[in-house]
Formats: sequence, C-alpha cells, structure tokens
Amino acid sequence: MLKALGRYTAVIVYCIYLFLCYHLLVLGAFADWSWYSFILVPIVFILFWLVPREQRKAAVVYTLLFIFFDQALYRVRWMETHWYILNAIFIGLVIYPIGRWYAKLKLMPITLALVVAFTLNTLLPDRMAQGLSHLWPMAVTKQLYVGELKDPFPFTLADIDGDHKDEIITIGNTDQPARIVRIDDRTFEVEDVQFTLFVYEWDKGLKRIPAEAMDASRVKQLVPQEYVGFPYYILTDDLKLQPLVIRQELAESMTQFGTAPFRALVMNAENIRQLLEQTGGVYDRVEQTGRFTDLVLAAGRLSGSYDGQPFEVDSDATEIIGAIQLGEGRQGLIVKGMNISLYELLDGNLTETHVLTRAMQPNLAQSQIMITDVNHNGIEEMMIAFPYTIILEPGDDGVWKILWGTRERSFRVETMMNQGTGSETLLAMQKSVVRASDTNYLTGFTYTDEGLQRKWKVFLPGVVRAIAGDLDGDGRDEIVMTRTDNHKLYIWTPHRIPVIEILSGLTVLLAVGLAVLRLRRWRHAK
Amino acid sequence: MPSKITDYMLSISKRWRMFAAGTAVTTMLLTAGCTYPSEVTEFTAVAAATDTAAFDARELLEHAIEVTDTDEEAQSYWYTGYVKNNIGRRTTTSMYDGIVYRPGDAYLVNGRVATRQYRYFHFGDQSYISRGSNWFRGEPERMLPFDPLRGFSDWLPFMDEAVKLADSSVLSTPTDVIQVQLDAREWVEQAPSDLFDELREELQDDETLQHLLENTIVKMTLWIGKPDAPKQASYILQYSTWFVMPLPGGGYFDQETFFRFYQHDDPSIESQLSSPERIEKYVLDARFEQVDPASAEVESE
Repeated sequence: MLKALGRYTAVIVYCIYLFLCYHLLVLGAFADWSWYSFILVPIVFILFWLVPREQRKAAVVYTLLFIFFDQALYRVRWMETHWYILNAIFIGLVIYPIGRWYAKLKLMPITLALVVAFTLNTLLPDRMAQGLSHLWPMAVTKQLYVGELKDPFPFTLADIDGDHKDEIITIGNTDQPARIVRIDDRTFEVEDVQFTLFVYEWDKGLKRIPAEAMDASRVKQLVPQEYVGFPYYILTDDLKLQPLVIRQELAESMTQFGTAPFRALVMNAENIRQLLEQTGGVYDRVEQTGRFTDLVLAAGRLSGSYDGQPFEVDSDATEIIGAIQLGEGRQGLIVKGMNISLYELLDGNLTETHVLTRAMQPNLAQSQIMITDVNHNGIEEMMIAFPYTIILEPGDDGVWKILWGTRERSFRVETMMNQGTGSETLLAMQKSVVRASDTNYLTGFTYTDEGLQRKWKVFLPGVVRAIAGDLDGDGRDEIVMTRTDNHKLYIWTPHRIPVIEILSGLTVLLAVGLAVLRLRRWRHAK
Repeated sequence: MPSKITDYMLSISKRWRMFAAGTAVTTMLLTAGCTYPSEVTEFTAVAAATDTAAFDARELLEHAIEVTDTDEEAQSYWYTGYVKNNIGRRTTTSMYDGIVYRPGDAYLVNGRVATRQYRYFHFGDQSYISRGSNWFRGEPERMLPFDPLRGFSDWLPFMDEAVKLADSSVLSTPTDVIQVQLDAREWVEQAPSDLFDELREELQDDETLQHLLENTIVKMTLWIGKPDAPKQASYILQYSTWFVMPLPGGGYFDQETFFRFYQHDDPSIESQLSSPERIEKYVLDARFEQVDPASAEVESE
C-alpha cells in the first residue's frame, strides 16, 4: 500500500516535471530557436536511451501520452466546468486503450497523467505556464468582452484614489448579458454595444471597484483612446461602440472599385469629425505636464503656458506627448504631428529646437512615444517605442543623439518597469535572434551604453500589450498584460527563482540517476 | 573497493564526456545574458526624387478606363483588395476579394471588416449576405448599380501633376505606373465626384474640416497594362491610394486602399456566378426579432 502510494507520488512528480520542462525548456528553446534547440533532440534521445530497455517503451509512450493530454486539454474550450471535465474523461477513454495495448500501461498512471494535465491546465489556462520561468501569476480577470472583435481593448494603470497603489482601468461589455435575436425558430446571440468601465484594485487579491465608488467621468478620461476598429467603429463618449458601416453597403460600394478611396476619405472625415465634435474641435488638451500648463492643440495652433508665461504658435500637431527634462532645470515640450517637434521657450518665444521628420524615421505616423531617462544623466530621452524603436537624446544645436536603435520591425518597447530604481527594466517584445519568424516574446532589458542587455525572456504566446505599475503597493512593479483573442487581463509579478536552472539541474540529475541504474545493471549482467 | 569506485567514475567520464559538455553548453547558452547592440547610428537619408519624364498621364488613364470598361475580355475577372489602417500599435484591415461577371451583372465579395467575416452575392436585382453560416436576403434599397469603373475618371483633373514611376509588372503583365500626390482639400474641391458633394459644401465654412483636409496627404498609384502587352493591354490592373491623415490625440494615421484585378476572362467565373439558385436553398426568410434573454433561455432548451 505504502509502496503503491510512493509510486503514485513519483508518477505525479514526474508529470509535473514533464509539464514544466515541456513548456519552459522545450517550447522556450524552439520559440527562440536558440542553438540549444539543436542539441535538445539528442538530449531527449539520450535520456530515453538511458532508461532500461524493458521499461523504455513504456517511458516513451507515457511521456508522449502526458504531453498529448496537455495539448488536448489546452485546446478544449468549454465555459462550463462540467463540460470540460466530461471532455477530459472522453479524451482519457480514447487514449487509455492505446496506452494499454501498445505499452501495457496501467490504468492508474494514465488516470494520474490526465488528472495532473487537467489540474495544471485549469490552474494555468491559456498557456500561462510558459510565463513561469521568470513571472509569477497573481491574477487573471474574467473575460471582459464578448463579441466578434478580436483585438484587445485598451487599458491603463493609474492611481485614482490616492492610495499609492495603481488601479487597472479598462472597458468591457460583459456587464450586460448578450442580446438574443430570433430568426424563425433559431436564436442567436448578438453582442452588446454598450461598454462599461472595469476598474480593478489590489486588496489582498484583485477586486473590481464598483461604479458607484468612483468618479466615473474622470476615470473614463483615463482610458487610452486607441481607436478600436477605426474607421468602421467609433467608441462614443458614453462608451457605445457604434458601427459606421453596414456590410451590404460596404460590399456594394467597394465593387465600384474606382470610388473606394473617395468613400474611404468620406468615412475617415466623418469619423474624425465625430471625434472632434466630442472635444469641441480640440485635437488634444493637457492640463499639466511638467512646468507646462493649459496646453491646447486646435485649428492649427498650439497654445499654453510655461511657468505661467503664455505662448501660442502655429502647429500641425495632433497630439501632445509631454514635457521633457533638458538638464539644468530646463524643460521642453514634445508634440507629434506629421513630424515630431521639441519646443522650448527661448526669450519668451516658443521655439522648435529639435525635429524628427518622416524622412529620418520610418513609419513615424504610427509611432508610440515614451519619455524616459534611460542613461540617468538628468537629460530625458525621447523613445520611439514602436515601430523601429529608437532612443534619442536632445543634444546641442538641434541634433538628436542616437543612444540606441533597431531596424527590426517586430521589436517593440512596451513599458518601463521600476523606473528610476536600481532594478529599472525596459520591457520589450523581441523576436528570436536566430530565427527568421517575427513572433516576438516579452523580454526584460537593462539599458547600458553598449546596448540593451537581456535580463530575461518569457515565451508566453500572444502578448499584445504590457504595462508595468505597482498594484499592491510593495514598491515593486507588477506587469499587467492583454493577450490575443481572449479579452482578459493577466497580472504577473517577476520572481527570482532560477526555474530554468532548477529544471536543467533536475534533468541532469535524472540523467545521472538513469545512467547509474543502467551501469549497475550492465555490470551486474557482466 | 576504492579502485572499483575509480573504475566506475572513469567509465562514467568516458561515456558521458560528450553529454556533460553538451549539458554545460546548454546551461550556458540558456542562462547567458545577451546584449542587443544598437543597429542605428545615423538617420535614414532622404529618398531620391522620382523620375518625372514628360508623358500624357491623362490620355493614358482615359484610354485605360475605356479599354477596361469595354474590352470583351475585361468583363469578368478576379479581384483582391484591402483597406489597411495603421494607428499606433493597431492595424485594422478590411479585406475584400472575389469575382466579377459583368454580363450577368453579378459579383461575389468575400469580405472581412475589422476581423468580422461575411460573404455577399449580387445578382442583378437580387442580393444575399451571409452571417455566420446563414444566408439572408440583402436589402434592395441598399443595392447600388454595379459599375466597377466608376470613380477612376474622377482622377483625370489631377493627371497633369502625375509622375511616371519605373515600369513594373502585376502578376507578370508589364505595366506603366503613374502616381499623383496632393492634399485632400485640393482633391475634394477639384474632383468631380458626387461622393464629395456633401464634404465640398461643408468645407466652405468649416475651419476644422479645412484644417483637417489641408493636412491630409493623398497619394494615388495606378498600374496600367502596357499597350503592347500580350494580354491585359491597357487594363487597369492595380490601384492603390495612401492617406496620411491627422487623428485627434493620435498623431497621424496611415491608410491604404488597394485593389488588384487579375485572371481576366477566366471561364470558371461564369459558372460560379451563373444563377442565384444555389444560394436560394440556404436563405433564411425571416425577420430579426429581439427576445427577452430570460424567456429565450427557456425556448432554446
């Protein structure tokens, strides 16, 4: 009895070990396509070769069977738990006879493999296991949007109640049940167009702040305008996602091929004018950034004041990025239009001292800009986070000094973590250095004068947007992220457990153990 | 006994030397910090100006419209196209592809708008649209006359400013490439298109709109089959229009509207678009009716 219990425990431990190795060592290696993946296959072969011959087949089949269970359960999508369990049992019933017939595996180990795979996939859904190498999952929200749009919705972190902890602010439509439409005797679900605010705080766990407990109109302003579905949809001020097109009309008008761009312009103009109507014709407005106040961009003019000194200049800009420290207590202002301009108040006039044009930087129109001081010299840098990341420091004589830049389009800076502290980390999405695929993964870098030094990389698939902020008030930032296709928010905290090293070590130990076993038998036989 | 252990150790080291080395290399490769050095040391140089050899773009386009409209072999073809919007991190693409059969006044659109897919059939005065796996009748009042060449002639007033780009080819047919660049205000004011009527009128005394359009760059490129090409001579084969447009609080966004026309006179098109009967079988003839979620739960059981 006790022996059986010990054997079952060993089987469970082996399954967990397999699960972690598969997601963190094997998939990681192939995702990054590092050189390691080339020797991975021989290593696996050697490991199985070390298993005594009479057990080898069973070991190989059992290992593959567990991985199959894991893959199968990951792909099963059922909202209700009982359906998920039923599916798991069905998968088990199909696989058991194969394992039994081919490798004479017993019922109990196969059941345990299924139970372990089921438990781990329930605890760590959506391949969260692949983040475990450097991140610890703190929470996952429920699905915030039900409908046909695939792109995640915008979210941000901000301290809205002044408790020195960031709250997560986003929008979703799952507060309302989906509308149901009937045609003949069939019923269909139609998504709700009314969105509501979803604000979460960390209070010994992730808690949603009810709408009554916050100033909804102020919080709504904080939701980043990311033009979801532009120009076919518009998110109105009262958070309704309204379509501006009817599919039939679109099909009918698109096939008058020559008119397509004419219609496109009309639709863009309509969408932009609706946006401008909501703001009274103002392109962008910032109450305060650094020493600049009351900044307004409207009808081709930029106005505001610096230290209370008013200014107004012509500008084709449409977005105010913010104030930038220029050293010696001076501050400049960065605005983005066709080009990106840095203004400074000189002799009472707002003067454009630096400009980055479309010819200098590709795809400038799409760029996302962050202001940071990566080299800690008191002069802040302008970082084009995406596309073609470049870190520029405003130098003398209107020259931008290039601190770091890449020509890789798939590279994208997401956020600065623990900004200004000793553990400052630049979070970016980086593809494999060796592999040609553009699939990129979340990577933590430290800035050095030689380049960006990689601290860690997690092979979590489908990260769309990651923002760092201190949610629990412990002085260290957590990472909040959205991922493709599921409209949930994932909250992670970086840990310092050397997971990869431990797993590699365990594998070496396993190999040594098997080798000793084999050697003993070999000597015994001699 | 000690010799036994030594023997043992030795035998291990002999056998597994390679293995141990491999493991060590693995661990090193996996845990070593990599530095990503800067790839950019200077800004990109300004692109060279395009060739503006003298040519009559207006005549080229006029002729192409006429040929594409009337040539017997240009009456059925495949098309593929998209409207791609780049705003910051987001790219919203709508895609259209399908087939056209002008003698039957028929076409098919496989569309995808902001990740939502649908299919649309147009047959004379009948139309059908799919939602999921169900087909519904299109609304007759939303149907437009099928005129695939409409709109091309609205570019004629701007052809004096057009430039000729290097010859190119569209799916192996050699083409002339013409391009014109202007601002959207000029475009709206001078294009004879009635689609702009409303916008043109509002532009008179709307400063916000004036500013918006003045700051919008329009760049249109047309690929027209070479007059001496063996097939598709003087056909409009590819059509791309770029906008760079100011977006409140979002810098400027890029938008490309693109269409390509190919496989003209493919005999399979006629059979695919012969009659609407194939779809008729699947059409759900019914009105939408919203039901109370609570009662629907009971009924769907």
